[in-house]
Amino acid sequence: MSKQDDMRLIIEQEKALVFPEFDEAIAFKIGVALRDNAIKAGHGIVADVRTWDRPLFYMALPGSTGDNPNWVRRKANTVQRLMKSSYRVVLEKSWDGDFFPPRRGLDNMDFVIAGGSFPVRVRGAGMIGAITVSGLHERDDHRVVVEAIAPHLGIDLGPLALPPLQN
Amino acid sequence: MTVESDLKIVAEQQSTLVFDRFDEDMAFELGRLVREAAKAIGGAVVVGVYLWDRTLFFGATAGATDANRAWVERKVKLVRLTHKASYHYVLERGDKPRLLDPSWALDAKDYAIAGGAFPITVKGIGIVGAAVVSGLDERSDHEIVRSAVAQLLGKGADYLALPKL
Repeated sequence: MSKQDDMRLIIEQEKALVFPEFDEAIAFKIGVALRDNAIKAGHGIVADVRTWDRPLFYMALPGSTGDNPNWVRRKANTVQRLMKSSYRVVLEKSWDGDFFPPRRGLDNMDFVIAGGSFPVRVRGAGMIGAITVSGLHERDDHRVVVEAIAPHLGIDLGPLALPPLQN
Repeated sequence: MTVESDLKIVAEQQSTLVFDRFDEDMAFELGRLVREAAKAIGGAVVVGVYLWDRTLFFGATAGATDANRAWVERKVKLVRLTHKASYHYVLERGDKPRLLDPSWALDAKDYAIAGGAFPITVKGIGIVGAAVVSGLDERSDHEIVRSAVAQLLGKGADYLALPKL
């Protein structure tokens, strides 16, 4: 499995994981799924669901810190600006480091290149928000978000799931 | 029913609704209880559970807007400032303008004088944060939080309920 395989899979995930509708109750439901899955796996994460104009859900589990919401905010900003999963931005970038070159005008204080924020795309409405996790490795942050969205949409991730990393 | 009797009840709510411990799970359960109660009455609300240094829970029901988010954040700050339920502060002030005294040099964009923020008090520590609702009238915002805290503490939803206006 290569970086290219991951990129290809994430593009497919973004195409497949489109909501027919989205509201406060769905935000809550997905937040609860993220929380339940994390408790089961013993992950100390925070999870956040927001539309571009306002927050809809936030929760923190033991083991997370005050640093995590700042990652969430900066990852979600990256999704909003580039309209793709933040982990795809990580894989597609051609330079070292987790911040943008100065000429992009995307200050590291507000934008970070790190995986774990996935766009909320609604059919007929476009990208309206993001679902974000912080607390794990960025590839796993991304994975747990996708794994919480897919069941809600009745989608079996199957071949779209990111495979475990091999050493 | 008078302001004086309301104040007495709210003070007693605050002095008796005290946690032995408070953690992320309890914050989530508190937020969930408020959301369920709001949905049961068709209320469009935002609910936040905050420690002073960070957010533990945030939720909304349909119809809530970003204005509710702003109210919640501004009401929390009043609890941090006064160590009182924000509705207690409202009742104490009576008809005075809903602005902090200018000599305090605290901006209204950061602090709201409005009911609905209830302190989270932990025995042996004091007030460590607040649970806050915006979306109903301020007395109901206060009561929906009070009721959820009381349930979480096993005291029942109607524990020290304020009389309905």
